[in-house]
Amino acid sequence: MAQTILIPTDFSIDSIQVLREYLDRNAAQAGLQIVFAAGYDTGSSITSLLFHSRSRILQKMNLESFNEALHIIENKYSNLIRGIRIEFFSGWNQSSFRNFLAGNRIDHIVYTSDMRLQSECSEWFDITPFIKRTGTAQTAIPLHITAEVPKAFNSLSPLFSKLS
Amino acid sequence: MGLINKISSRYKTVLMFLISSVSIAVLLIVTFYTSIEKIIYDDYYNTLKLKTDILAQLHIDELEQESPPKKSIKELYGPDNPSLFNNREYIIHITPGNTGYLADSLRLPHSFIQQILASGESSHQDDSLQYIGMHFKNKAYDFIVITAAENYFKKHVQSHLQRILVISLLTAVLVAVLISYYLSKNLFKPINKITRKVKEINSVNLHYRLEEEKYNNELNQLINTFNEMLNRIETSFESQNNFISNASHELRTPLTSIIGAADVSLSKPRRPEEYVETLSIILHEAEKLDSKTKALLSLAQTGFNGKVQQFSTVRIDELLWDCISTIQRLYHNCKIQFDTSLLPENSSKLQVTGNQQLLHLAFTNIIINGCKYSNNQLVKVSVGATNTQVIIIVQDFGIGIPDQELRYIFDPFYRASNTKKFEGYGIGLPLTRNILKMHNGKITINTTENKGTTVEVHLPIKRF
Repeated sequence: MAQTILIPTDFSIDSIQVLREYLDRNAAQAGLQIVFAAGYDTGSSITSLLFHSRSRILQKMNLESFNEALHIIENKYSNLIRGIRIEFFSGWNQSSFRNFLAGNRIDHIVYTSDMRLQSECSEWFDITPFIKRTGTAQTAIPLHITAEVPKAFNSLSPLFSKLS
Repeated sequence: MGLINKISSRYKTVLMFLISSVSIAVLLIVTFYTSIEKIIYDDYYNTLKLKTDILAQLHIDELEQESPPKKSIKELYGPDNPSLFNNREYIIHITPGNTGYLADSLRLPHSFIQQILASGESSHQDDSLQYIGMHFKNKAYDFIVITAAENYFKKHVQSHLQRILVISLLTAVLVAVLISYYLSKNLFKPINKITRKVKEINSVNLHYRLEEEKYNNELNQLINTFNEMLNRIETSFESQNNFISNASHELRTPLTSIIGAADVSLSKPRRPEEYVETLSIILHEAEKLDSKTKALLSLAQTGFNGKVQQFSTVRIDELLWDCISTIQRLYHNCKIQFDTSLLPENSSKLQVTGNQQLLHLAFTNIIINGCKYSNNQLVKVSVGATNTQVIIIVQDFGIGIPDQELRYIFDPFYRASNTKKFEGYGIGLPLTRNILKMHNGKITINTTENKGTTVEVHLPIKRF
């Protein structure tokens, strides 16, 4: 049965490493549906609800290099991955997060506790606290991030920094 | 149109402003005048009609003698009504054949009377009076009522209003002329100032910049654009100057050693071994000179040539393997790791349209730089592919590039300040950049001094 996996992200290249690490460990599973999820605070004003636009949020998050990195991973593991998509969670409490998981048919959550997610976008928030309290099956992946290599925000180099 | 194109944009703007403001004023005044006229006329017409109606009702009441005439109503709508001037009213009983006589005696056109009889109601306007006629008919009576009154508006208000409006129109035109005169004086003043200042700047004083204007956004944009352009021009002037001085220095150094060696050996007769030594020095230096001029030549060829390069399909991973083996043959100390962990499963995503030799040269340059400036520490080469691009990343853990010098590293012959103890002429990177540019590629360099450098190359993959 093909699984749907949720990975919390801050749209940094490092959060893609979690996926890569997971795929390396679970090479037997095929047809994985990957959902990268980030918290996005839509605010409580009616205008922001009215003019809610997913594409504008994506634009605001500046995902050019993130998408590039996703494509690289997708091309590399094309026999394991059925699809990758990005979802935003805009709820405030645990039950809405449960709905979010059910709505996206999430079977499994993969995250890392070795790295603190952070984003420059003020509306973004970390959904890891919700993950830890949910009952869905989850795996914590250890990440050994080497900070030696110089990296810039828009650089893909962290993706390649893993020394095999 | 020819005339409009000839006059300067200053007068054009002024003329446009004048025309638009005057036409707005005219439009407003005409609208105002016609609507006022219509409103007053409607009001006056309705009053007249009401009076006609009431007169008729009173007359009918009198005829039927049901109730005596109501004086109050008569007073209200009778001859003393303040809104109707020069009142007249006629109540005429119709007997067959008297209509023609009727019209003549009232000096009204026959058609008006006919119209009243035909449709029950009609109006007529002569020089000063407005007539309204209504026809009332029953078994007991058959009469028409005609009332007439002078149009108060026509007589008193119209001419007054016209005078006021003409005066205000003239005032508006005058104000518009004054404003446009002021505009013509001041609107283009800052632009003329900019023109004057820009004219002052030439190749000698390229460091001059235009000062920003206060409270003028559009002009500040123009000024900023000019200043940015001046920055670019200054940089390119500088790098050209750098290039000339660097190039002449680079070419002179071997020449100086050749001349020096030859000079020394010619100063007195020497033994054959000494000649051999001198000649080998000369040969070595001449070879250096040769390789430098060759490098220059290839830089010039890749930079701006009209020649069409031979492009074919190149597989990037094979190309990189080839580069690495070439480098390892030449430099035995080089440690290169080729990271294939992110190679796409579909190899068609690694195919690039390009010139094999040139791309080989470019990647060899990047990788050799990595080896050279890290004292032969490990250099990592990785490849990945998105759906549109191949991404090649070369990482070293060497000396890096100082931050403030990063923007010069693509200038020919430029060498960063921390590369003094490494050999090189500063042609490799500009050459590489030119080659990648030819392939619609992109090269970005992230670096930290004394930590290392990451070179990221994006090349578009071949479209099928």
